[in-house]
Amino acid sequence: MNKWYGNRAEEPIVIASRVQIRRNLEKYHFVSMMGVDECSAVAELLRGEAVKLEHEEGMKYYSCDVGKLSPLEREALVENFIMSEAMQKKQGAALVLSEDEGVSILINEEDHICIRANARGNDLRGAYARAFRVEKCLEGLGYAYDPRFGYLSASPLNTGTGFHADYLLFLPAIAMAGKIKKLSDEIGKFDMEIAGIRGGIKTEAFLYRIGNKKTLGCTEEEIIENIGQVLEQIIAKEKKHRNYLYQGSKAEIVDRVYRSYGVLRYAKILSTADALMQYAQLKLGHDHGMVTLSQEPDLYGQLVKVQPANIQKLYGRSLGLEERWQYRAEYFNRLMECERGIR
Amino acid sequence: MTAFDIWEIGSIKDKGGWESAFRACALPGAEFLLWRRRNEGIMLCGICKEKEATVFYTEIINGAKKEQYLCGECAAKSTGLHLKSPFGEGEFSLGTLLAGLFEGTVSKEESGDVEDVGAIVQGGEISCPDCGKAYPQFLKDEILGCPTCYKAFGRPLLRKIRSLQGADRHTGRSPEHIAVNKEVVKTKTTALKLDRAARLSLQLEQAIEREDFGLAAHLRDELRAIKGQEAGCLDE
Repeated sequence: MNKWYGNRAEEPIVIASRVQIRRNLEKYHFVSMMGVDECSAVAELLRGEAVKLEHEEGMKYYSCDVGKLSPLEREALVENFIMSEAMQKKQGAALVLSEDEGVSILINEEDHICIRANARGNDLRGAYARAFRVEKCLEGLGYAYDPRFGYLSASPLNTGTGFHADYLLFLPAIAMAGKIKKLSDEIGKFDMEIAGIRGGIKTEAFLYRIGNKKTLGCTEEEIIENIGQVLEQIIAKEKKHRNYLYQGSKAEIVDRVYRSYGVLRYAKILSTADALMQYAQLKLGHDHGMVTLSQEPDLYGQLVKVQPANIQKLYGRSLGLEERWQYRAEYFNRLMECERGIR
Repeated sequence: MTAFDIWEIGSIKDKGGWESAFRACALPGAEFLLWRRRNEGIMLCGICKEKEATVFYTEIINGAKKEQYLCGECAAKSTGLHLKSPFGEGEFSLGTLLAGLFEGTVSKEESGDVEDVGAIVQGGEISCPDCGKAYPQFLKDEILGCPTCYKAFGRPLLRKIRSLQGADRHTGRSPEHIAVNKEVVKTKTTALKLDRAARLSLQLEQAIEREDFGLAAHLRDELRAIKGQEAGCLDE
């Protein structure tokens, strides 16, 4: 089955939409106060719901205890944004994952339940609908809820709706213009934040997430609407800056794009950050007609595929740093081989 | 009497009953005043006239300043501030006073539906009766132990949530089996207004903390205007 991001072409700016819902079960203490037995009981209970989800969604759902996975497997799940970094070493943590990897349920992370749903492109409503289908499915287990504070979460930062929505955006022009910090200040006024793909302000391949900070005092619909409005502004800004780039320094940009092609086609060692940066520049060139690739670029697909643990999974064995760099270069060399007729 | 037995506290009030604490500390100023008065004889509580005064209380009502010397009990009963531990009939102690003033002081209107679940108060420390999590521990890690913590830490937590989220009332989805409370689910416009009111009261608190009373008065008027409009909306 195709992965959730493999079913249609990637958009030039909005790469993906993601929704995250946090819930706790009313009959149990929150995770930080649970013993090993209680953690296992919660994990067992939630993993048992996978069958119901399969029926509801019409696709297979897998589940596992995170502690039983190999370190490489765990690392790869973090790299793919399926699991959080904090979950890797959490006792009693478990995972339920849909076949297309579009929905993952993080069990016993900070809260008992954290449902993550992804959708390709600008489709926050699609991700929202999917996440809430899953949330409804699990509702029978009894969520901790208070009429005043809403869904009770272990951290007061998530209480209320327990709802976080974000867009993954490709913002090369704003980033090249050095305007990310300014953008961050601007959207902060609307209770939103911008962060790199792994948190913090540093990022890879000009990819940023924008999402809501607050979860209390507004409905889920309002959160989505607000982010949508902010998104429109950001898209307009990115387009404006791309225009400046082409008009102001077209030759330089075209040169950058072709150099990126050259590096990916012939380099013999490539670090993750370097490879993704080159690929991102190639995507920018393709999206604006500077080069024509025979295969539609898939920045998100490459982003997860060439991370350290994933590249080892791809080649089916454990690799040292140097080997990983070589294999990554080899992978891109092959990918670019099909692009011989690049114009 | 040690320095920590003497407190200088204060509040600003208007006729509408709006109130907020602005200071709680063992101030040398208050100590000096008490010492001076004590030398003239024992300083008795201005209300009960029986017990020794340990609290120097300043109140500003519509701009007029009033100073009083009170004993702990009368300060808790009569100042309008919920000085006593909001969680039970415990002693008027350092811990509970601080909890009550810095984080626990909420007007009756605000605290309306915070339920008392009998939190354990020991040595001025509030703990959850269900999971045993202590409030000071929560202040360190910002992680609650169980759903009951939300009720056990009621008012101090309410204030914490307001400062983190800029709001203190859920307006989103609710589980199907829970009857929808008409007051909670409001039209979008009213919800936005409430949001603004929450923001204003937050700014107001900050202004009071900074002792910027000019700004506080301005914000209070603005808040009152919004609440007035809101009442008008609901009447319609």
